[in-house]
Amino acid sequence: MSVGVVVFPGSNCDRDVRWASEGCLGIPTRYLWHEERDLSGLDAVVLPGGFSYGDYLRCGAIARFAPVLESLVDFAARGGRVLGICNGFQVLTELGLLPGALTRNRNLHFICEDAELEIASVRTPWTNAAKASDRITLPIAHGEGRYQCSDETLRQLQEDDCIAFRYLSNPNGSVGDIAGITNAEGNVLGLMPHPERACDAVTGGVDGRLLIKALLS
Amino acid sequence: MLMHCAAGPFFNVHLLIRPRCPGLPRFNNPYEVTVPRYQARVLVNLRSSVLDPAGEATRSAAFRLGVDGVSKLRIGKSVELELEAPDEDEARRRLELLSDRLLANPVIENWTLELQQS
Repeated sequence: MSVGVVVFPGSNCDRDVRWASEGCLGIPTRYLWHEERDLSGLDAVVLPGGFSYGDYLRCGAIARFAPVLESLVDFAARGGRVLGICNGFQVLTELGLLPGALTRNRNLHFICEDAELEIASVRTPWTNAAKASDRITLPIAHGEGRYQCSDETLRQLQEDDCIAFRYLSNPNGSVGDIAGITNAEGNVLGLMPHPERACDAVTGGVDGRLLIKALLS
Repeated sequence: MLMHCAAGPFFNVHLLIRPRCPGLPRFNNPYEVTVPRYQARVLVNLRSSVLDPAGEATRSAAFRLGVDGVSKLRIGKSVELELEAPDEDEARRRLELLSDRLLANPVIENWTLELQQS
């Protein structure tokens, strides 16, 4: 049972994720360079935060063509768990594993603060250890985290119970206060807040352990 | 690469000859092929339903500069390309694929293509 953390040129939360999973929770973890295609032996893959390929063109637009992501699409189709955090969430939407897109924050600021979230769905393994409407606090750090989708997509997300997390106080203008969504199958989760930065009590808060533990639960 | 070539009306034979490098000057290179080159510009704009906070900020700067009456300002991208393709239809097909799958994200953006042979 082990977890892979993708490393793109420009990723900067890859080590934080590994510290959270391996250092804090004892989950065997290895890095996956963006040119790697071999995902054998992995039960879950994390796309970490950062600025993959400099976020040129659009956040996640170039990363989408990384060789490791070709394997990841098959991995997800076979039911493997995929967690996209921040830039990782942006990559998942560009890749089409999750619907919608992430756009410039409404107030144009790069927002770096703690955000209180409501667990909006406990349907999937990511959150079924919690209770519906539980609140957790995770740090956010993004300039382009305003979730956007068509009205039709939003209805579909609600019908399929795919909205995993909502902001209690919407910081960036996301539609429906959306902070994180899953796919219909429930094995792929993308969210803007950083659970890996809330796993070590030394750095404040351990609410993120819920999601890092869920990689293998 | 080997090529068959008719030697002419007086010799009812086909010769095998090697085409020379396309980069050589014409006098030394009977098989120079010119592939049409195209110039293109792809304009990428946010869909009208998507908020453009950067455009709004720029609009308010226009007001501070003393330019009145700017009622709408939305920021997009312009991508300039040059490409070689056998014909215009093929050039257009390639550019449409590129625009739709890479240069723009159709969830939030529209694009338009301007194409001309150079």
